[in-house]
Amino acid sequence: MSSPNNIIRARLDDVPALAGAQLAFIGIGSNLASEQEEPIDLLQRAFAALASLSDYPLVVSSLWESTPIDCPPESPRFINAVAALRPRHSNPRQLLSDLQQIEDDFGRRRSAVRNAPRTLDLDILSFAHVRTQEAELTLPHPRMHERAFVLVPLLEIAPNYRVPGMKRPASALVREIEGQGTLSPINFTKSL
Amino acid sequence: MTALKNDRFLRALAGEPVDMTPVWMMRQAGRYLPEYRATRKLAGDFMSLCRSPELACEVTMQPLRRYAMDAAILFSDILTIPDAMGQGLYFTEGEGPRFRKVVRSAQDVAQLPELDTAKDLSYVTDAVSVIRRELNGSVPLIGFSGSPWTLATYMIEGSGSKDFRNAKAFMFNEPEAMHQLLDKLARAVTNYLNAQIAAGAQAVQIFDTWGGVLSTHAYREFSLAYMQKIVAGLTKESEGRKVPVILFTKNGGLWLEDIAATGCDCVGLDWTIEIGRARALIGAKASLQGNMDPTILYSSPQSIRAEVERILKDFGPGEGHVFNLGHGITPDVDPANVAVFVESVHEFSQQYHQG
Repeated sequence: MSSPNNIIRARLDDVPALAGAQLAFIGIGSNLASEQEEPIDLLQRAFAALASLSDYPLVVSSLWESTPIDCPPESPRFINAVAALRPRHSNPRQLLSDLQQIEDDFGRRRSAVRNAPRTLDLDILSFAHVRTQEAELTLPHPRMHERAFVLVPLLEIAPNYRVPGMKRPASALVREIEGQGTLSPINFTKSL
Repeated sequence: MTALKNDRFLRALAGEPVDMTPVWMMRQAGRYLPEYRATRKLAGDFMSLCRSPELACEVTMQPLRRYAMDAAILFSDILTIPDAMGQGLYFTEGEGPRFRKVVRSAQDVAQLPELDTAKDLSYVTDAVSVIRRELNGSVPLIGFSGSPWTLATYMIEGSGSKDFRNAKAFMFNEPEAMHQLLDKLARAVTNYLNAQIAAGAQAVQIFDTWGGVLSTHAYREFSLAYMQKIVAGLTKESEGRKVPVILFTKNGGLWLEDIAATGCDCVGLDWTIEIGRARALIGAKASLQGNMDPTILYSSPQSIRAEVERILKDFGPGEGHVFNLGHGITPDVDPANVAVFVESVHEFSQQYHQG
């Protein structure tokens, strides 16, 4: 195959089979190149791993490069993306544990330092319209609406997205975010 | 050889961009066409039609004259191999294929000759050459064979079967002899398909019509393993282009990941599985072919169009889809409905491709 055809780079509006589907949105980030590969290649592999949790092809944003926020000094720049999947299991905790398994497979070192560099970081941003607050899992993700590196790629695939429980659309929230450094798209059409 | 004017089908099999989803139909050269029935009458009977390269070419071309099909498929029968092995294939009116001899023992298996395609099935490779010349680069030509398991069921039963009691009993009672039979057939199929490729087939499909009657365990051991062996033994490239392999197991929806893992280029789907789900499961490894229920062609043009639209929507945007029926077209379909089918695939699919 010339490209992985279970991954679709498109707006959700162009994927009519997902209209009205209960989707989970996943925030993906990486800023630590492993010894063998660059974060950008690693994100492509992460897409493939996420696709295995979806019972429809995974819909992905572009890759975006961002300045680290709230991280130890000298942290390398982040590569971010957002993916939408139609979960194989209806339980968000199952998805969370699947995502943690993927992070572990990618060699994430769970560090005591908050927001320390990590190989691969996967967050459930939202899961259908679920709102929950538990020790391990808060939905929707409590800080997603403050982060340009989440909202910008998210709006790319879902321009009409609303954070569950919030009145204003994500497109309005993103305009109020300030002082988060630069965020720029990476051209990766050659690989997808 | 003339360059292909329309290579949409080969591009889709490779997961490459196309302007619209390519379409062809299993058994597209068939009894639903009045001109086919006329040619068959001229030939006298079905096997004479298969054995005449000129008449086989004529019926191969017939659906292409009526419809904008993106591929031609060699007109032949899956049972040419057992026939060439001396089993004596014949057809009775309304009852399908029959064999004069049946395979029921290890001794029967041992006595089956090795197939020499060049000698025993030259009428097939001759037909491939004649068709390629006649196609003149308009669309690619698909060669095909039955799967070893499917061929074995006919050789053991001596005909079609409802429950495959003899074939399955043989498999359970004498697994070693069954493996010897399947191994012999796998060698024959490899040889046969490679001869078709050498004669000009630009893609090949293996029809595992009866793999779906097996348990998962038996499917892997007695059907899939031999198809995998064939895939490994096929000519990979011809005329400077990859020769893609399509594996089609009817009722194989439970085993898509196993089928894709054989290294085939494309997995054929019957209509029982959702194509979007199949894409999620194996889209990274293989392209997909299918999968409209052929009986929808008995319904109104509106329902046909709606169903085509639904399947294209379910697959979604992007590449790696060859539109087809989930099984062969049935004899008494109205040919006008086939035109509706083919046209709507081309019409509705354009929005899902970027060009």
